[in-house]
Amino acid sequence: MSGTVEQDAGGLGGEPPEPAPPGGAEAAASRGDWAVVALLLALGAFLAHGTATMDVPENSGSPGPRFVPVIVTVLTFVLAALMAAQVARATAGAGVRAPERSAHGEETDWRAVGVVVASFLAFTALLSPLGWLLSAALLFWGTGYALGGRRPLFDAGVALSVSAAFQLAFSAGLGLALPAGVLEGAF
Amino acid sequence: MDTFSLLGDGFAQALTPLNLLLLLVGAVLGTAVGVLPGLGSAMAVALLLPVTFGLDPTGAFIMFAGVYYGGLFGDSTAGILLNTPGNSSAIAASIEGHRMALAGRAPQALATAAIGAFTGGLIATTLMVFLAPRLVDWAALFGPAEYFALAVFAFAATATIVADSPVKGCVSLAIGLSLALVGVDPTSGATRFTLDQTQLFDGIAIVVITVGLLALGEVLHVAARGRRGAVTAPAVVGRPWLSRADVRLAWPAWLRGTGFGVPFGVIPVGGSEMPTFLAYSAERRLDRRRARPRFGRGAIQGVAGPEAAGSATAGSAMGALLALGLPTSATAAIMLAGFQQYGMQPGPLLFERNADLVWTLLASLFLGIVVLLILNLPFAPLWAKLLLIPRHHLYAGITVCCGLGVYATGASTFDLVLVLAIGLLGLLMRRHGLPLAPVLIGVILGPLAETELRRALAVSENDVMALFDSGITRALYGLLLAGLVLAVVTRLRARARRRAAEPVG
Repeated sequence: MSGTVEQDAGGLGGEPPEPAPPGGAEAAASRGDWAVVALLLALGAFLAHGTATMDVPENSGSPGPRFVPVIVTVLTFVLAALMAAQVARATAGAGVRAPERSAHGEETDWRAVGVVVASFLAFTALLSPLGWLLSAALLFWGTGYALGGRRPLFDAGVALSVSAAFQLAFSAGLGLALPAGVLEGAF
Repeated sequence: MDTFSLLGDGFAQALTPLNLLLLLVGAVLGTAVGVLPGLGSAMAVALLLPVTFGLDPTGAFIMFAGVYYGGLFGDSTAGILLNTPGNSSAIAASIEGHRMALAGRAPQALATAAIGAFTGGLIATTLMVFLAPRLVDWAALFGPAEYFALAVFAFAATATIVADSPVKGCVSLAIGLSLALVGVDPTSGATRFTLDQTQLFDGIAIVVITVGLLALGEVLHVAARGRRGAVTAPAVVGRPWLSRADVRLAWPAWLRGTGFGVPFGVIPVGGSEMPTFLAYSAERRLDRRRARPRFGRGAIQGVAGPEAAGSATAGSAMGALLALGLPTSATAAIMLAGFQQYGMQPGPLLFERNADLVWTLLASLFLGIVVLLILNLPFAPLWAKLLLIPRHHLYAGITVCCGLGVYATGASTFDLVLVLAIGLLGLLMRRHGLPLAPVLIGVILGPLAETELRRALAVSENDVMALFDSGITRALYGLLLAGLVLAVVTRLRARARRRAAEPVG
């Protein structure tokens, strides 16, 4: 929730003001929101499949374990339809509204996202074999690099100090063990 | 008075050196997380939940009390100094607060916010102490149909009334409800949507969902936006003392803000956005009547009102959580997860079974706000120094906290993969303007809604009318309907006004 806030809730009389979030007064759908429709359809399909193939224990009463999943599945598909209608309308009116919404569909730095994701996966995979100290330092360094850190050696030093501080606080202060990994016995 | 002696016992429990230390640590950590841009009090509680696992329940909840209010004290700091509110609830206070900062009155703005948070929290906590036992009596009248009605109320209110696009709000709610369905169905024992992964039989832990959605999602969102949005904090110089004129302007605003905040903590509408904006627009309207309106040039009331409202909401939300077992905000929802971690279920029975713990927690909430006022009033400029941490180090640290928080709750690598997946979901939702609060409300109240719905229908032998049988349910659904109508009318009128104001094209 960052960004500039332009809020004018002034002349609203006694009514609740719209809790306007950053990014515009009307958060209707925009063209990029087809992704949301796709997400909803995928979710609906997953729920429908899971509900249909569910093993229902014999003595489960009525309403059984399928009851609520069916409701949520239907809700998901209805919302997919509503969302699709909104996006279609936004696409049709794009000629008028395009400049206003283009800020929303700003270009994405997928490379930075990829580096953060890769660092987190590496952290997950290396946590047991390498231990907290090194894998968390790697995670810190990788994320920092993705977000524009350009002093590799200095950042590595910061990363190691941060992960060491966490390990100390947790094991010494709270008595919780974090995996020691290859450095087992070094302390 | 019964309440006084119980509260006295609570204070006696809380006032041990160790507990005070825990409270102080919680308050410091909570403020620190709250101050960091993009992270508010919900995140403070979610990230620090695992830190409390090594403690006994009493110690853990005392620390929680500090974290809970600490996040609230901290989250307006970034908003005032950088115009990047840590939380949606801090947006309203940031508008005038940032203008004050630009006018060189940053220390006064921070002090006003701190005293506002103190006033709101103190009054709300006091009211809650005396009202909680009444709420408990009232909650005893609640059966399955009533609890289901409350959950429906919470769902509809967060998804439609508070969210700015009802369809998008409902999309978020559906995502939350789906996440809540994963795992073994407690009523029948059927495994649902687990993809045959044994790690999913217990469902997806609430910590995984909140940390992924709120913290990791925010980090990924910042990464995705690239270099844009980099900001530097203005220097906070000068002493944070308020002049007599400032106080004269601010104190009625603190009280009015509290008045807006308290009722909203008990109604499940997803936190303090609504009351903070109500307080903001009330102050603004009062200001218009002056000969020289101050709004727009850094009005101190514009900080005092919303800040007190936000804190008051948090205070009474705690009351609703303890007495009714009903989380009314994301922060309360994570607190609920904290209780469940210790095998306790907030609600009427908590006051019977764990009375000593409840009263200790209430007492430590009082101590927490006092400690926080001491920590925040003179040291606000010091907290602002946190904003000088380079952005890439800041978010790298948050990511490490996410990894630590999730790993410490379950020591499972599976959860780490899951939190990353949910973080990516959080990125997607942020990019498409899907609100996050309905997801959390869906996840938290989904299981309760399902259990109570099925219980109610089983008793009535599938007669749907049983859901609307009592006065309480009818009142709740009626209130909900009225809220929906009001929201629709407001929206239509706002749209009409915008059309009228906007030149065509």
